[in-house]
Amino acid sequence: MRVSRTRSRGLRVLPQVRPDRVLEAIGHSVVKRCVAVISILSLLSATCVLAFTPKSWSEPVRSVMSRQLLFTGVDGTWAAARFGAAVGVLLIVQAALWVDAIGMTTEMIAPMLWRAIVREVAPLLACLVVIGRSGVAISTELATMRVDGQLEVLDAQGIDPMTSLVMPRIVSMVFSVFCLALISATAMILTGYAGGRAVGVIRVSFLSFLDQLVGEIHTLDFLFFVPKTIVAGAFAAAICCLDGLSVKAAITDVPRVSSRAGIRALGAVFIISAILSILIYGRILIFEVV
Amino acid sequence: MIMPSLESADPVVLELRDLSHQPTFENGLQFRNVDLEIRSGELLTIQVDGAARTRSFASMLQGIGLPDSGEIFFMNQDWLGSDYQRHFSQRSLIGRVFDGQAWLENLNVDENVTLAMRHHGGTREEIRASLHYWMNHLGLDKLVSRRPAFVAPATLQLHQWIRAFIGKPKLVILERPLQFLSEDWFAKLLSAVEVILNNDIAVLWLDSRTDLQSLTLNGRSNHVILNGGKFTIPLDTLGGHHE
Repeated sequence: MRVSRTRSRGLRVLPQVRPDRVLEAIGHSVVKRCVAVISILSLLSATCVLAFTPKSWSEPVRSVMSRQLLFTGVDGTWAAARFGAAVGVLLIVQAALWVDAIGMTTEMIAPMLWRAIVREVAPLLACLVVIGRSGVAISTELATMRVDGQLEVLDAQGIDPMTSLVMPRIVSMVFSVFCLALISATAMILTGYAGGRAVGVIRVSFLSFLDQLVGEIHTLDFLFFVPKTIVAGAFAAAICCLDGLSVKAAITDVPRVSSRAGIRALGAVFIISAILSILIYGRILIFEVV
Repeated sequence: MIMPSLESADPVVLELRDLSHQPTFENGLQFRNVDLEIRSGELLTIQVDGAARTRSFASMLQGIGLPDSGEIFFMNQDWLGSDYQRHFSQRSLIGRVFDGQAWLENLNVDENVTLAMRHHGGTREEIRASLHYWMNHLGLDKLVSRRPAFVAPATLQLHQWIRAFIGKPKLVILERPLQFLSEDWFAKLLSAVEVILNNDIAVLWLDSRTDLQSLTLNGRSNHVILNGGKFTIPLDTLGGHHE
């Protein structure tokens, strides 16, 4: 055992780093993460099964679904459009800088804008909006219901909380992420064009600009946009629900669990985006992988 | 050990066999190797301590949580295994007045009352007829259409009664059904319980009231006292405490 002398206390024992303990800690962490991923996948597969079972869609479940869609999708429209508009301006300002710096032609702006928006920014932005507005709220709501005994009330009446609470929330979050990604992509393109015209980077008419964008559409874009919104949205929703339901029987745990759920969901969205980029394009950033 | 059910050819609705349970929290109900049987159309009152919390025991009877040992059967089926659809379907046949939190706070009280019926496929006409009958019986004009947080506890308790009685339950569990209510409601509750019993529905009433022992509703009422984890029959029904 190593011993060191400190100014205030005299002798202080420093813990010795043992390789077996380090390996144990790493193994424990890996197992914990694997269990978390398996739990998420289990929840999502159960959600799929329930969602495709017509009997699950009783009138109260449809009501929960429509309320959640209203809150997550419809009420989130303005936020997604607003953020999309701001990001569109940011992108076009960046493009203007590149035009000046490396002599990019204005014809190159449309494809760049399109790729950046459809393949990367819009799905991420929609996920951020949905997690920020609804994911944390869902987590808080489920945690409060669990602590408060409301889940027990539901269960005691023969109503499966998975069918009536979790499944409609996950489905509506996934659907909302997809729709909000479309809305924010549209807002980005519109403000991108308007901003580009204003700073003189884009000199063509809006129809010509749209024509250029349409010309850039590639099958890969859809192959990327659809799974990215759906998979990332599903993971974010599942994490928020799981974390909410994992709360112990103390109301003081609820804020901690909710904020953790938000952070974990955000982390998952970024990781999934990176994994899907690798799987679909075979590259990370500019580096060829396969 | 007591088998309080009267000799009858009616089907057994709820049965506990050699049940033992030690609660994990203070004032929970404790059981030591007890047996119990309730048949259709029978009332069983269990007198518990005034400070006792009946909620987890009632949930255990519904298969939400397991006892330490012993078996619980509802309609001749246990709560074990992973056939959760069967469990939920069985639970839908039990009406319950909860002790403590009884409402989904994000739904209005009227939505809460009809939630289970709507979820389990009750038609609008069935729900309306059932509600109408019990509201008339209890003298309520209409259901409250506000969030539970804004409704008085006494009103909520009456709505709990209606929720427990509507539909077609096989068993009604009443956990301190008169709490928050004045004594005037006792007679109305007895009248409602009598109607339920006459419809061949079993009733389990958990309460600390001592006057339940004298109830002789439809002549098929049983009364026990839970004492030290065992059921005892009250003095005035058998002339002494028997175990």
